[in-house]
Amino acid sequence: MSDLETALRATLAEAEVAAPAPADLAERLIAATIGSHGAALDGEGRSTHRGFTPAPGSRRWLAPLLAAAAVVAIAVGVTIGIRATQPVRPAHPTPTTTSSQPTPPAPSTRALTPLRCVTALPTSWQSRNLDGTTIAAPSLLYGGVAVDASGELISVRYTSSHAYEVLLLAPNTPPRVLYRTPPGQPSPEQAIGIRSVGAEGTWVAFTVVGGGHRAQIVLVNLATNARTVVRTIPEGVDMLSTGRVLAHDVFDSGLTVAGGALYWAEIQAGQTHGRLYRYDIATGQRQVLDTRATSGPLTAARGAVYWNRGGRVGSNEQVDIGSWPHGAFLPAGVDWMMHPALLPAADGAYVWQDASGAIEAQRPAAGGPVTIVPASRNARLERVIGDFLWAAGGRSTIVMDLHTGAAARWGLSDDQGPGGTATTALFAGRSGFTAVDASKLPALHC
Amino acid sequence: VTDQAAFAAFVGAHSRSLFGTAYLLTGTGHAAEELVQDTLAALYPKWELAAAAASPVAYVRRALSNRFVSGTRRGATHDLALWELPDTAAPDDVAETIAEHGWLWQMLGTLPHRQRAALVLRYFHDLTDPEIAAHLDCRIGTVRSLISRGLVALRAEQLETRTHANGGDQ
Repeated sequence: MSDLETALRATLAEAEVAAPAPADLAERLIAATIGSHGAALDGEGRSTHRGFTPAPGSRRWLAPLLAAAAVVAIAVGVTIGIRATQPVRPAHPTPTTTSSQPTPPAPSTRALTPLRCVTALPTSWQSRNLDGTTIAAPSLLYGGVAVDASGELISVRYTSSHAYEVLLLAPNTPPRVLYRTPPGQPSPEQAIGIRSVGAEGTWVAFTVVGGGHRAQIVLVNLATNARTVVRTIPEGVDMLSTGRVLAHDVFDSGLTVAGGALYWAEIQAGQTHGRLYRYDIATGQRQVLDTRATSGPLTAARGAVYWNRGGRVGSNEQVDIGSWPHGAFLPAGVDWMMHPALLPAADGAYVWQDASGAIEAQRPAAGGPVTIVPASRNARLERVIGDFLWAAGGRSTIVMDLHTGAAARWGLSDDQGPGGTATTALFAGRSGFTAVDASKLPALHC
Repeated sequence: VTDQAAFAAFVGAHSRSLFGTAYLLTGTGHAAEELVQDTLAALYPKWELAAAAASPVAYVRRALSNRFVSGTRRGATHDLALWELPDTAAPDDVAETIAEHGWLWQMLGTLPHRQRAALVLRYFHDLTDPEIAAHLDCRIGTVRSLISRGLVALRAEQLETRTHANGGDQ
């Protein structure tokens, strides 16, 4: 390859990374497209991904706005249930044994190693010859699902009758419908949707929105099929989320189940910060953990929950690792609006991309951050699964072993890498998903 | 009936990636958003076709590339004169980046649409000749010609620029 071609590759890669995409690009595209083909949005009508309680003054174009907002909520708000594997507790805790205090994770002594080399992707990765569970997926699932150790998987489906279903999928069994909204009504104002799914062990929680009713947080016990309305969101109050993409097709939920408790944040209209709630499933008690939350909660590895706390969303702010250990902070200086997420690795480390573009990692309370990938590499952090991070380098995607420092060009058909969580990798196929325990992914070596 | 929710989920997941490609093709954020919007609007009435593709995002990217080279986008030629110099992500040497990569970026904007699209698909997306031919709806030989002529044009301009620069130093 000539010098010119090399420079051209670098130029295109840098330009793509720096492309000035609007923060609300997806919402604008969805609203404009659907508006132009369907409900014809008012010229001034703009949807917002955060709120689902229209302001009183918006009634003039309420119907078309809701038509677009209903699907925008799916794009930026619907999250995927994660029946998270909890190594330090039974996979399916019962309500009576649920602890009100999260169990701290076992400390890790494994080093975080900066990028050292680029090596060949192991054959087992290339051939997908990985030790995993295959689950058939019905059509019209929202992508980005995750499984627990028992091989079950939670997702949301939109049916042909314009209803939403929360599904439990398992190998070799038909989908089990955990919840179904009423079929869609002719008027978009009557549309009812599912938003913000979270799950752990036997518990699945999600938010039901729309239909002219106040939003409700619903909790389902998979063991008994019992459903409980945990919370009805007051008038003039929205649930806080961050809109960040956690993985391919996986959006942060704003609703998290971790350590036997349900977490969410609410914000009054016009306020810059809101209340972070914790609902203890065993006792039914609700408490306020933070009155200055600026994002919804996110689940980190091993039951830890974190959220943003700051003067306003978008400022450089510290991140409160809420439940493990409570009050621990990662370094300030990360522009959360520029970079997608604080991503948890399997061993309790966190990975993020700072404002310079460098990819950093740190294990809380274990010294300062380690620069994993320097800014000059122009890598964009995509996701972290287990001990591996995926980063888009402009013209290609790499997968890197956080502990050996070895990286390999991904180069598979799903060029953006698998979906998944800190503990489970999900490889999408034509007829379903293969879920692989992240701890079983083959290591990379220089 | 188009599945609005599936469409929205797709856009939510891939809008940034599609915008990036559109930005490389058009050179400005405004034009990129317009190109993505126009492409999605054209595909939306038959979204089930895109959703059923082996790779829906590749399907949409192909439609986007094809739309760009087809010249149906309004104001495309005018936009190219106003290519934005992107902010680089903390380059090691700002001056070098501006001199080399910034120059290349500007030069890309002067190339004909089809040449630029072929270069972007080859050197950014790493597509093969047949894949690029499918994206641009042309023959494989045409793809090779487009890339070759694009590189020749860039190289010629590079030589001329360096000659001017050397002359200025003297």
